[in-house]
Formats: sequence, C-alpha cells, structure tokens
Amino acid sequence: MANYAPNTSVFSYVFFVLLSSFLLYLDFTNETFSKPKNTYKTSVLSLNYFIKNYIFEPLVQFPELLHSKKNLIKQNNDLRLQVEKEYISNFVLSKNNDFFLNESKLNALVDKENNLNKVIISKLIKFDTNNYFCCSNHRLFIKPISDEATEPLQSAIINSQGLIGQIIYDLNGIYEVMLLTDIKHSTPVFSENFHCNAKGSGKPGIITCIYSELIWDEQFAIGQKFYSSGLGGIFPKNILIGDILDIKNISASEKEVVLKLKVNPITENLFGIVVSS
Amino acid sequence: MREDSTLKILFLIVLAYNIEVFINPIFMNVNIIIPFSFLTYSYFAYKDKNGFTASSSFLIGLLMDLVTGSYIGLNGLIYCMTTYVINSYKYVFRLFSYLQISIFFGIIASTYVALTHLFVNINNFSYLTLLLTLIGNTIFSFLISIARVYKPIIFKRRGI
Repeated sequence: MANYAPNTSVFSYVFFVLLSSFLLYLDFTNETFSKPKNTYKTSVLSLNYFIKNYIFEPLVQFPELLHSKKNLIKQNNDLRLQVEKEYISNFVLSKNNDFFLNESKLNALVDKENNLNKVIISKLIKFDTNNYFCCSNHRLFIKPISDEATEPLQSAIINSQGLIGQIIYDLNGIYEVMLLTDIKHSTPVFSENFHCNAKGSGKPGIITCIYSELIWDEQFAIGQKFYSSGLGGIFPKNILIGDILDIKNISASEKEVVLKLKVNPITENLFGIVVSS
Repeated sequence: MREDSTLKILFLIVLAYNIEVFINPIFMNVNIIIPFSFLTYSYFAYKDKNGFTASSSFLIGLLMDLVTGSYIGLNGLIYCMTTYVINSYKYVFRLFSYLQISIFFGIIASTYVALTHLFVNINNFSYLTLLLTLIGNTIFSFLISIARVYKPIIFKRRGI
C-alpha cells in the first residue's frame, strides 16, 4: 500500500493561502495593519533601548568603573557627543542664509544663545541596513537625546552632511524616519530654473526626477548640482541634495534624471530634527 | 508530536533573521540574497517527520511578517505554499541526493526572494539578482549538507 505524504490536505492550504492573500491585499492597498505593526515596532524598539542603555551598557562599563576610569569614560563620551552636535550645528550655521523659510525665524535662531534650539539632537536607535541595501523601504528610528520635539511629524532630519529624510511616525517618543531614497518619498528639488519632485528610487543614495522634454527643453550636464527648493514647507531650501549621475530616456518625450545624494545616512549615529515652528 | 518544540523553531527562525540582517548587506554587493530565516523554516519543515500543518506555517509566516516589518500576509502566503510543496515531496526526497535537495532549496529560496521583491522592491526587481541568488543558495545549502556529512570524519581524524 502506498504511503501518503502527511499534512497535504489541499483544502486547509487553499484556505490559508486565500486568507494570507486577503490580508496581504488589505495591507498592501490600504495599510490596514499599520497600527498593530507600529505597536509591535514601538515595543521592540523600547525594549531594545531599555536593555542596551540600562542593562547592557552598565554591565560593560562595570569592570571599567572598578578601575576608577568612570570619569574619564564619561568625559570621553560627553566630548564625542559634543563634537557630533557641533558638526550638526555647524551645518545649520553654514546654511544660515536660507535655512529657514521665514526670515524672522532665522533671526530668532541667530539671536538665541544656543544655536541648537531649533535642531533637536537625536540618537540612532535602529537602522535596518538589510532593507536599505535590498529593498524599497528605507527607514530608520531615532530618539531625541534631551528635549522631545513638540510636533515632530513631517520634520526634516539632518546629519552633519545634509538632509537625510523626514519623520513619518511618532512611536511614543521614538521617531520613524523615511529616508529620501525610500520609494514612497518625494523631495522638492531645483537646479537653476528647473524644479521637480525627486522620488526615492529604493536604491541606496539614488533619487530620480522625471520630466517631459515638451515642457523643459534645456539640457542637463552630468555632475550638475541639485538643491532643496523648500516647496511644501518641510525641508529647508538651498541645501545641496546631490548631483546628476545619469540621464535616461524613458519614453519618446520623457527623461529621467538620476541624482546621486551627497549624504550617506549610515555613516553617523547622531541626527538633528529641524524644528522650524 | 513534533520532534523540535515550536518555541525552539521560532527562536531559531528569529535568530536566523537577525543574522540575515547583518550578513545580507555584504552579500548584496555581489547581488546575492540568502534568506536565512526562510531557509531555517524550510529546513525544519523538511526535517519534521509529519510535516508542518497549514495553520502552523501560516502563523509562523504572520509572526515573520511582524518581525521583518513586511506586508502582513506576505510571509504567511509564501510559508504556506512552501510547506505544501515540501510536504508533498516528503517521501520523494528520500530518493534524492544531497545535491538534488540543495538545488531544491536553492529554487525555493530564490522563489521566496522573487515573491518578496515583487511586493517590497518592485522598482529594482532584477533577474540577475535572482539568478545569482539561486546559485548562491544552492551552493550554501550544499555546503551545509556536506558539512554535516564530512564534519564527523574531520573530527574523527583529529581525534576530537
């Protein structure tokens, strides 16, 4: 008598395949399950943060404390933090002519004794580099070091090199940042008189602009620089975004300008939340 | 009754996912993606005498959807289909050589990568990546299978 393979009842598999497809359809089209997913993310990130900061680090530092190096280590950490803060601060000041859309806000920034009042320094909590290199979802999670941002959603995020993205979710004090290269992200950029919304390509360090030659007949050059236009009021204007890497023909009248970003988000652990309110 | 406890399987799959997160960015430089978590699941589905049920594969898939942050149902769907294929060929596998089984795992791993990329990376979908992933996963599976065979011989020779 022939042996039948176990657990191969077609009915149950068809049922679960249909159920999975239905769930997938709901999530893919309407993001129906974003709430439970965010709740899960929040709990995992908070737990990681707690374990790392309150259990792992004290354990690692314990032998060093025994050797009376506590103050030295603290001083070293503080100095490193201060240097990274200064990098971001310098970036803000170097762009102070156009950093904020409103002139009065710029004056307020310059008048303030502490220039970081408009930029909240935040620490990297998690960055899924696997997704960053393989797939279209380019996200990272940050947590402010000192102050909490009052209205963090949509705020622009910078590091010491330039713009890297914007906050899309507030997960109870941990902010999810969508990078400029995320497939769902769109960045208003310009070069000379040409304006466009540069879409994330899903590839690390690459965003693209599509335009019609019927509307814009001037030629671009490889290496031509693109800056943020400030349209939409989320990103500060005149920040160097990147330069042209390639120009592709995608149809008879449409062209795609491929921009190589100036900023690499994986090089630093500190970021600034630009609060312009 | 399952030989390995469900908790152990879940732990190992999640552990494999965490390894995958660190290792895959390196392999991506040569266009190879090795889905360690999926291969771990497939290994347990293959190893289990009675095979996983449709409901357990669906639930493990849902858990992986949460862990990986992909669309809910994506892993559930693929895990269900994979389990069905593995269970259907359960007795046929006995006739296969290690190389044939490795090719089978290479094929299902690249199918997994293809299906996930259809949803999470459609703009950069690459057949080159899929081909190299197929080759990479087949070699990886083969190395794992022969390591199991040759490891005791090496240890015996060294007297360990």
